[in-house]
Amino acid sequence: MTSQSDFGLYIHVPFCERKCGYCSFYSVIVNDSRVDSWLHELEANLEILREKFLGNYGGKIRIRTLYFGGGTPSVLGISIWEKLFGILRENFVLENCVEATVEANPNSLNENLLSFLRDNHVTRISLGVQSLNDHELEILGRLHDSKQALHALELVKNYGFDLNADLIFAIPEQNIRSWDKSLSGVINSGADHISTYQLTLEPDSRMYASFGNVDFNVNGYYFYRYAQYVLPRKNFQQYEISNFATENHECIHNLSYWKQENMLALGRSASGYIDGTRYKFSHENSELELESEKLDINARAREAAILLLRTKYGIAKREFISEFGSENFSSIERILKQMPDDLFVRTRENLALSAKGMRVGNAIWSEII
Amino acid sequence: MSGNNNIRNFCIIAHIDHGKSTLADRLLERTGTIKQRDMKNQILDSLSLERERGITIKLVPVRMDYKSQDGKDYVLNLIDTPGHVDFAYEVSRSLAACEGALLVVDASQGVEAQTVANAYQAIEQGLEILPVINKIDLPSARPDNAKQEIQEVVGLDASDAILASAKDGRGVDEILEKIVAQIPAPSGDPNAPLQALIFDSVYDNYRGVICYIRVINGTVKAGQNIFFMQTKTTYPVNEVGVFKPGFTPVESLSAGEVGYITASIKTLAEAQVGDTVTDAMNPASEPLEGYRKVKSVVFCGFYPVERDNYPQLRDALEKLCLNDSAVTYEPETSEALGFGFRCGFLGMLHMEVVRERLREEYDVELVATAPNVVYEVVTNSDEIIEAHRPADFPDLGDIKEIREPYIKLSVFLPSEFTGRVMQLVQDKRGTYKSMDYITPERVRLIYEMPLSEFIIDFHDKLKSQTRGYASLDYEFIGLKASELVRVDILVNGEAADAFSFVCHKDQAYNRGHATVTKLKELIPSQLFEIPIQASIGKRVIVRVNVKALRKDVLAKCYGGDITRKRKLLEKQKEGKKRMKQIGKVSIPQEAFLAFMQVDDKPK
Repeated sequence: MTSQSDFGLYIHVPFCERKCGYCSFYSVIVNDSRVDSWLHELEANLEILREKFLGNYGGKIRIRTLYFGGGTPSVLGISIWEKLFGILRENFVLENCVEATVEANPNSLNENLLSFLRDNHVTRISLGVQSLNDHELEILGRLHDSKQALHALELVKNYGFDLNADLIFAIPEQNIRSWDKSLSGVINSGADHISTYQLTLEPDSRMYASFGNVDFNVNGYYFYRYAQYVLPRKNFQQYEISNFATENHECIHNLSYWKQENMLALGRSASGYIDGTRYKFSHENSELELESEKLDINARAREAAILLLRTKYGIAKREFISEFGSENFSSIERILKQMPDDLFVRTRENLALSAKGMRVGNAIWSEII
Repeated sequence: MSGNNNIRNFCIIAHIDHGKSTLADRLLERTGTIKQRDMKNQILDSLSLERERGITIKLVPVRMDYKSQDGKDYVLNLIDTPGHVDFAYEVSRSLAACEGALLVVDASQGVEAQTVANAYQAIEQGLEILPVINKIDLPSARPDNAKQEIQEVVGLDASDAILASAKDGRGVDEILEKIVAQIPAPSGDPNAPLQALIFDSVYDNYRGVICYIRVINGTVKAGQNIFFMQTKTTYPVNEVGVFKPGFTPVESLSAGEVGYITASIKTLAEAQVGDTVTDAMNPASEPLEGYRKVKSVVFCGFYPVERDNYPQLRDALEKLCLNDSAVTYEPETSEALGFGFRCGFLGMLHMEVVRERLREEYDVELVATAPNVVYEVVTNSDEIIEAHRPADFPDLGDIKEIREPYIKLSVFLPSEFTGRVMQLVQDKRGTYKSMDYITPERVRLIYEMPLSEFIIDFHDKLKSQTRGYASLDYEFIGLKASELVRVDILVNGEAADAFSFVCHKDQAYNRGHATVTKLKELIPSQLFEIPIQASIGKRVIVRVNVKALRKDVLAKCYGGDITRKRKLLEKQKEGKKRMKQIGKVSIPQEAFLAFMQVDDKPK
């Protein structure tokens, strides 16, 4: 049972063995002293949140979903994980946690770690496979090859975790066949959830520099469309713009973001949401700097509509109206009525984007905002 | 001053660059009107644009005192004729104020197109013409050829043409002597009722309008009440004077004399070129012949570079029109450029002059749209509509006839380029009239051609086809029925006026195709497919589609940073807001600009 006081908890683990050229998340190269001060910062962050936003939630906070993202959480040694869980147990009630995910890279995953995580509430591993094509992995500058990736997938499965595989499309020199191989490869290895991300580079990205003769201007349409076509045939439903899952394997933590549910986020650059306030820790000095904004009901309504339309569940009309008022609903509905019908799946009770609508989501949402 | 036997009123007819201004300077110098040390080069050029480009649009009139070789004193009035066809009407009024003209021809280049037209006008008005072969100091000078061309092209006897060099002064004395000897003294009765011709007028901030006049009959003096016979207004004269150069007051001006009057007139519109000034108490029974109201033939939009500068542009135009009554303007709004003015001009050079003056004198930076002409549409009920833009055209079914302004075009060119130029003119819907050889190497082509084709880029094309060796002249010959059509552009079924155009029916498909293709490139994909059509009336002649957006979503993880996601969407929305909506379609500003052929600096 979820209660109002249950939170999602996101821990940002900002460490990598090497920084990937395309990645824009905050991370640094792992070393012991950095890890120690990071653990200290997590506690400090929580104090800040308690002071500013958590006045109504005394004592230990009940956690419903837990997510360790990065960075590369799997680079942390077991002794660090022990300390980390120690901190979490001191501050949170983890007994009701229904889903706990750890992001991992194929090359930094080992059986000791998997075994430890399994014994400490972790239910799900999200593996940064990215591709099962060695040339594509090379272009991405990953530290693993396809063999290591398949091995890691198998290992995770053997330990009984739920398994997500991240895959990247629109990689230079990628084609539909290699994309299909990556998709079917992770499915055959037992993944029950696939996140697909389009390779997007900032203009100053290191990747441009390292592959001067490669054309990075790849059209993502075909790959995305193909994923939308092929994955449902293999029982993976697209439940969100970037995410596909088999039945009952949708990522509950991930969905919390789109449902505007309360989210504690700790660590540099981490963003969360508490009772109508969005906040984000600085990536420079998270102990001191925190940006936040309190949304009024109209802004929340519009944001809610946009976030809900990212998912296959869409906007449940009655709930939406009871939360934000019928005026907010009808003004959004008016805007959407101007658009072609085939972008939407409409029922009496519900309004969601069709697969086609999902492909042009930005154009739709930018009208609502 | 009694009698007018000692007055000679004359003008100089010359092609651009053939040395009109320099020759005028020499005459001033030789008659001692201006001391050599006071001479600025080409002192009479009044507009900075003229000096900059080395061309003369209009000289200031000047009065010279000359003692001839027979020992008599003469008054010589030099009145200029604007050296450009845009000002053809003003040329005719200037000629009407003179009894004679110097026809100046460059010794190495021979007769050019504009010279012929102006010489014919002078002949038509009965002026005595003195041919002058100028620039004989140049090594390439071939005075005999030039003489032959005057004889064969203009039809004047040039056997005793004066050989001159305005540069080194050769022939200047002979010119002065011949002016005195051959140009007739003005006739006219100083005691008859006043009749004075306004051949030019300028606006002065302190004195109001200054009318440049030639007194034909009667006498005018300060204090007298004068009556403008066309505008039917009466003013008391403040001052009368002559051009010494510089305004120099005199007691009176009588029949045969040239000078100016001021009368606290507020706007140029009240003292128009060609009007007749008479005595309010004792008016002449008839105005002088030849008055007509000048009409704009070329139009374009002027817009401020910065939208906020609209009031400055408006004020500048208002002031400029005080001393150029031939400019017309009315407010106009453009989807791409905002608020501006649709301005009318006598021709292309006039347009450029006005634009340059706005920049130089009023410090206004502006963008100008491509020039266009005015069509006359006759409806089935025989109503005549003046159509400035495509939107002014009535429905296709209601049009009986469309007329467009035509010009008679004369091109003088080296014969080797004849084929190319004929092709060029034909591509521009020109109709062949005649071709003759001036000399074995030089040809004159005469065509009739729609003005709309001429004003776009004809002059540039002609120059590039003939490596700059062709000269041209044109005159308006009125409106002619043409097989014109209005091509409508429909975006998603809605008419988009900004992209519609008028063209000959044979060009409709090509231009329609070019237009919709370009729009297809400029209109970004949107959530639905957008048909872009070109149609004549209800008949669609071309259609292309802007395909619906296929993908506009970043499948990307935001790490829960919803704020960043929202900001990206807000940015996208901002981008769309800057576009103009036609129906449901958002059209970027660049698309409008692309169809205006906007030019923000003079060529």
